[in-house]
Amino acid sequence: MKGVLALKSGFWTTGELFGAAEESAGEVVFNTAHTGYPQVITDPSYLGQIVTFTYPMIGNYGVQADELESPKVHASGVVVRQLFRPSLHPKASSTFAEFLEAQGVPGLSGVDTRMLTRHLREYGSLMGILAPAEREEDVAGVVQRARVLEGLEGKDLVKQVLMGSKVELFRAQTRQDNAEATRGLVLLCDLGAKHGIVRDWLSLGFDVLAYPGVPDWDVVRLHKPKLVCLSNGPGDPAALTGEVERVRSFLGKVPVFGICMGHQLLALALGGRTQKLKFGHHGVNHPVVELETRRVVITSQNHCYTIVPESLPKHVRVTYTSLYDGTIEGMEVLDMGLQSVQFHPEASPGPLDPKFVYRRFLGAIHA
Amino acid sequence: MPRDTSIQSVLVLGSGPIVIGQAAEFDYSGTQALRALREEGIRTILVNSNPATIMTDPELADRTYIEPLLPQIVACVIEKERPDAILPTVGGQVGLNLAVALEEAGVLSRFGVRLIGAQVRSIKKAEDREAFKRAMERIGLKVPQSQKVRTVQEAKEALERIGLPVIIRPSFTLGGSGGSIAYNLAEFEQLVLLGLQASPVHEVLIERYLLGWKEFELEVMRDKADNVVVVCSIENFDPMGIHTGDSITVAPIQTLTDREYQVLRDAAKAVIREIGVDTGGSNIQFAMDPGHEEVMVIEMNPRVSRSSALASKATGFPIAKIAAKLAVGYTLDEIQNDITKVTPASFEPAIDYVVVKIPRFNFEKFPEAAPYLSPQMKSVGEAMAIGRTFQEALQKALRSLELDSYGFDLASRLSELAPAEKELEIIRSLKDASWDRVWMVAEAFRTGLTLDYVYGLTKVDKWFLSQIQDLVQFEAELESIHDFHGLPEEKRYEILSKSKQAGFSDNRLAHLLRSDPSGIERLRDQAGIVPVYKAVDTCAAEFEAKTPYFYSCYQTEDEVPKSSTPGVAILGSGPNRIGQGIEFDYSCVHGVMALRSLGLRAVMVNCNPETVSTDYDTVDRLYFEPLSFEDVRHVLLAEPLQGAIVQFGGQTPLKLAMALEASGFRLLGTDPEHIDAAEDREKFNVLLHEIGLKTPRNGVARSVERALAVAEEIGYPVLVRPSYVLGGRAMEVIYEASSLLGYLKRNTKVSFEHPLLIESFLEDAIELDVDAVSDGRQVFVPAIMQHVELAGIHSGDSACSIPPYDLPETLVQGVLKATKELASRLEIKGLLNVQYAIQNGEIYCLEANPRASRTVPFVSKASGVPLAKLATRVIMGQKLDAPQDLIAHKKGLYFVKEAVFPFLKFQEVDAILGPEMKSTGEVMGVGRSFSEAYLKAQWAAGSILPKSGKVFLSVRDADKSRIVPVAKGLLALGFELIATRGTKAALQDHGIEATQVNKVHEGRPHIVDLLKDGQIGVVINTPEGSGPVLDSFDIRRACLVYNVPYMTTIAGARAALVALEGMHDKIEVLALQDFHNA
Repeated sequence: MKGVLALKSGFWTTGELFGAAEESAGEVVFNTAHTGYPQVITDPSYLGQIVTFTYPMIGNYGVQADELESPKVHASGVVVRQLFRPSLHPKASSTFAEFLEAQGVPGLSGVDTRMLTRHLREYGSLMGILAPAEREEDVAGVVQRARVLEGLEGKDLVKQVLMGSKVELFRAQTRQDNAEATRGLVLLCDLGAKHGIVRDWLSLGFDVLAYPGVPDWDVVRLHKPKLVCLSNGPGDPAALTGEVERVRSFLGKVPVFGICMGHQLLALALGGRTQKLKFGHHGVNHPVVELETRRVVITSQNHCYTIVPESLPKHVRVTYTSLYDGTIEGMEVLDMGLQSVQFHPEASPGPLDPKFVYRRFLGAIHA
Repeated sequence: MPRDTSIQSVLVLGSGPIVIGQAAEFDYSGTQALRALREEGIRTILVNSNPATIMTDPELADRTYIEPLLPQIVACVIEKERPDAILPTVGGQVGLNLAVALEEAGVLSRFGVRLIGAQVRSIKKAEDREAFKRAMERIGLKVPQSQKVRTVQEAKEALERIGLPVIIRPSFTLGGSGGSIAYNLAEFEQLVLLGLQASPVHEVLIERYLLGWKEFELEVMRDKADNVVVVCSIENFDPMGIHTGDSITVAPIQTLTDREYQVLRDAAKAVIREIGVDTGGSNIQFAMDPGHEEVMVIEMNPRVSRSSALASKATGFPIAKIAAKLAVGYTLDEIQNDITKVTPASFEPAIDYVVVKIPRFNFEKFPEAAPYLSPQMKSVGEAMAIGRTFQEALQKALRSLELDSYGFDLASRLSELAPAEKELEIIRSLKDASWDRVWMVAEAFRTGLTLDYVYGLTKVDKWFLSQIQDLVQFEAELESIHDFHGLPEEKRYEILSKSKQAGFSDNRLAHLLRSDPSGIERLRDQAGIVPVYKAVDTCAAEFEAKTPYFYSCYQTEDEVPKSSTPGVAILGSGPNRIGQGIEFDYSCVHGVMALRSLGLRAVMVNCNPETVSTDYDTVDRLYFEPLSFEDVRHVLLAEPLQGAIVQFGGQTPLKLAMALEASGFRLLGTDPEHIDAAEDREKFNVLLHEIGLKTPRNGVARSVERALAVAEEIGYPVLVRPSYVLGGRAMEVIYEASSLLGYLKRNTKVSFEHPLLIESFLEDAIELDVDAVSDGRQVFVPAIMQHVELAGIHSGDSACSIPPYDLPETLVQGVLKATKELASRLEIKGLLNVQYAIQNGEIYCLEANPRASRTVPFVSKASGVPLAKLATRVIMGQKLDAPQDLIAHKKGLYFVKEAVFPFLKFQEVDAILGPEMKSTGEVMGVGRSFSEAYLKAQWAAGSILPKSGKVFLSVRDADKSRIVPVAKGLLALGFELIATRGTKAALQDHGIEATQVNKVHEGRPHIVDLLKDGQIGVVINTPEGSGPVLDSFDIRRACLVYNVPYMTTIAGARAALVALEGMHDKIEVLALQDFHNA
């Protein structure tokens, strides 16, 4: 079946439809990772986005059930140069196309994804529609509709991603294995958390209580957590005014670690502002520098927004910056027990290099 | 951290001659390193024995020593130049081994020189398998079970623990020399012995063979602040057991999930840290079982390598250049990515295409060698192709090899077999990994074998196999179209568009659609189905690319910035092969440099990832494309050009000349009509006759009957060869009609597709080689080369000397005059190479090649005149300015070039010379006398002539009298002579005493026993007849294995005697800058 991708800018391209034969709208972004397409599309932060993979051959190793970041495909569509249909990897649980189809998400293959990427680089991330289009009239219709799409700015996508989520407790490995006491509880404010974050805290010996959204201090203190972790999540952080307010309610009362959107929320709670990047950071090769040591860390990143440096209060110390564009990649307020990173220490997909940031945080709060 | 200012001068070690396992990639890395160091204001000193390299150009380093890469020689250079540091990591294994030897000899401490890039303890930890194993275990990584042994007995004990099959890996060797797989006990013992002999430290590792495991490589860089980045990941198409240099490889890794890849990435970081590479690049190899359960580390190279050159070209990340910067103190974040200019080098390239590297083999030159692949590298070159999909890249790679295959054609060796035989042959090729296995995989699918079955035989991951199966299916669909040209236009366009996206060539499509390539081309042109070009930019288009490095694909958007000024294209020489190697790339690069110095835009088309010509830093625009007519045509159409130069890339671009001109492209330089006049034997005869130049009697035959008649007419012995060949492919001296019939039978394709040239073979003739440049009016002849070997030995395999060491001045002048006359008559614009033979004082012209020759770099180094640059300026319209003929003869020096052979890699092959070229590389020796220069050349080629000891003599009957003066000379120098019965008797007749020794079949102890015992210092052994010579095969094999200098011709023996006579204790090392500036 033929399909089309049309952007708000008027750019459109046709291809072969795969996955679900559905029409889907979203913000079109590109991701430069060579591996990890199953993790990417199941990452809740991609909610509302149509992901273009710059690596041209996608589906090579199918999908492995244990390499997903959530049970669901959150991306609203996938655009690739070439789809590999069969499933030949010894651990594949399904093919990529079947996986998308089962999840009701459309994909488009045969696209000059490099041209699309260059377009996005020039115009910035753009809204678009991915839809079946057998005839020329269908294409024209989709192009028309794409022209009038509204952007994601100011939209609260977290509400959407958390639909149906419940409080869930994960027990640390160590406890199950040898009955030793855990290192305590991490209260994970789930804004669309990747499973990798839960996995990482568990492997560090913590129990994790995943709480949908951000509870206020009264709820937090009931659980007596060692620390609160603000997760990644989709959309515009500035739209989350209630969440920001509640984060502020426990600042200074409990150590807080923020990842990606969690990092941005923390900045907002501290009185800072965020702004949209032209085409965001979506890849697994982003170098950041740890300002204190000048150490370079290759990181996995996925964000469209960034913190406005001037907006941060003086007592906030910037700890990491991007070697690509100088944007803030990490910050801390030590006397309040706050640390956060814009990149993804949980990786999945991407390099495991920044895992040390958890230990660094735990050291800082003497946990 | 800024640059370390205590380093003001750096000695860079080159890798020496091109051999299997160590090729042009080290010229690329060395050249990058020298440039990077110079950018830092560091004084650079280079030692490399290979004159055919860009790095040995006098302007690349401050001091350039083309000297043997031996510790004592390098020590002389260190003493003279007193560098602050030595960079050993860009000179391959040779560089590392030298560094270790210099350290162990105390040279480094004596002169206060330090190593940068890698320290001796890291080199040893990476190279010594036992130490490596311990290191890996320390960081929790698995390695295949193994044990280091020094005797066969120890090996047998180790085997009991490890179990068959095993790999036997000799310590400290190049390209896996002597490495092999043993499946049973009998072959195990034999292979262990061979391995022990191949190892310079007489040690092998017996290692579990991971049969059918997948193989991966990661290219890693580390700086002194311990930042580590993975530049490129590579997956081998061929599984474990085939040397990675012989494997098709693909970047990035295709078949691993992210979690699996991150396991390798983390392991690679741990390895580089544990081995302790201070700064620079390393190549780390991993194996994974087919079930993806287990990972093992196979090896790591603490230096830049073949794979890092590939990784640089595959990603646009210049590993060697960055490694040099890191070595002098920078950190990765301080170095700019010069493709984006806005991001630092401390990142991991993202690529949005697929890269396929495919090895080039030359088994046809070694018919005795079994054409199957193993842990020992056998390929002589490689091509790389870039496509948007694996299928596209693979099909481009196939046609890049220039094997007259434009895709998955039927392998010609199958075409004559009956179906049952064919299937057996396919199965054997798949199972035993024939060099052409990738075509056999396609053939297997064509004959209906299943994916699982083919996997079972090859253990090539099913992902790769399924891609080929899919192409075979695609081909079948195309073939099933009854009347392609009768289809509606729209349908035809759709078929073509889809096929081109999958990487099919016009040639292959024409075959499948029963059309012709030009018909397909016309149709595509009409429909606008032409490639677009996309950039290699390190970042998958995330940032704007500043560097003009492109590849073609059939997509929508072309991103080549339009140039307002017309440029000049230089067509490269494609994958290296015997007969067409780095020398041609050298000329191409010089062409580019000259164009740029003239302010012209230089556009390069080439597909060889090893070379300097495909370094985007070298050119204004690089198109990484196959050198097939179709691909070249598209580039020439895409770029505004004044024209294209076809005379630098060897036979590859020259073959395209006629077709390109016919398509309306302007070719710069000698007119194709005149090229033809030189290449076409009949036309050339007429020309020689007109200018009164002799040539051996010759004729052209286009049928067997005619060939026999022509040979009869000319008189035996005759020299036969197909027209339009390079490197003496299928060239033979034939002594009688029955041999000629046999020859024609073996070379049917050659004799009927192209005519056969037959000429009288000049016995006992001296051969000369001349390179000249002409502007159409004046002719410049910088030097005349005299070959050491007589006519009948391919000129590329012979040592040769500038100036001639044994030629009367009248003949020198005669040859000079003849060359000038020829250049004028052929209206040469640019380079001309002429070969002559001198018999009984008469000059015979053998052939004229209106193009750059293999000797251009050698002559350029000897004369100080960069010939290819000069030729380029002439081609672009400049006139020669009062050139000084024979300038290289007036330096007061001798320059000797010597060839280097791959015999050690092919166990079944006899190490004898003939008209068919077999050498892979060359070295140069410079000295104040011929003997000094020759001796240095021998040293550089690895033939260490001793000052005293025993010389073994065994010569054929025809040489019995000629050996006498050599024998006398050796006696006079104090050598003891050992000879076989016949040779001893012949010597005795002349009053020369020699000790008799048994031939191998005469009972023990025989000569090979003595060689094994290390009793013989030099072997002079001239074989009888023309074919492989069994009774002395073992002698030459033993010489190779035990590295005993050996000569297989009287001419070679005479030259060796001259060298020995001139040998003295003091070694003088000479820098090019000394004698060319003076």
